[in-house]
Amino acid sequence: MDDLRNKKVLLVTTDGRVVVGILKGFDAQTNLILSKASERAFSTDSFREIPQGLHVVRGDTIAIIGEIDEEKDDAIDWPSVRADPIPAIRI
Amino acid sequence: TYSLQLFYSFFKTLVGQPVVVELKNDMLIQGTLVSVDQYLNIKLDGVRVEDERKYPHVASLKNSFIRGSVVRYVHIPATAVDTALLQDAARKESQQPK
Repeated sequence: MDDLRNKKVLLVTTDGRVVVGILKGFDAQTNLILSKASERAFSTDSFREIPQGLHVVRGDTIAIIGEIDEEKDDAIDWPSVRADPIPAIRI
Repeated sequence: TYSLQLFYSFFKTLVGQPVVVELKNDMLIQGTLVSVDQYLNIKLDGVRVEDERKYPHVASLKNSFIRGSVVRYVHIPATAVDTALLQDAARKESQQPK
């Protein structure tokens, strides 16, 4: 994950939440520090972006983390997107 | 040949191949295998989620690091594996005194 340091990342958590932010730090357990974090809450009738500020995320709640293509991301009109929330990870 | 960390070594031989990672939340992520680590965390480049209409949430992802603990399956091209060699290595490993 070294190449993700200080990049804008998107995180999918094990409970199906989507969070974007700047990856400031991480460790071998994939615990993370995100700055300027904000949650993107999707539903079939609405979209909300919820600012979260500086966040520490525990590694075992992470499913996917990846670099955002900022051009692509800016081109999407997120407030108009409607979708079911991502399902939770089930063992 | 494969070492004691059998699946880690196996995935290392697949670096550069196109794979589809199926997660325990039923998402299917396609991409090229860039790297794998001892926890079987998987890094993929050029990612695309299989059902783009269902999962617009991740439309702007370029690459992804997928935590090993959330992987259900890694779908790989049949031609990328020497199945006989892998079966042989798995048999040998299961016979190791531990």
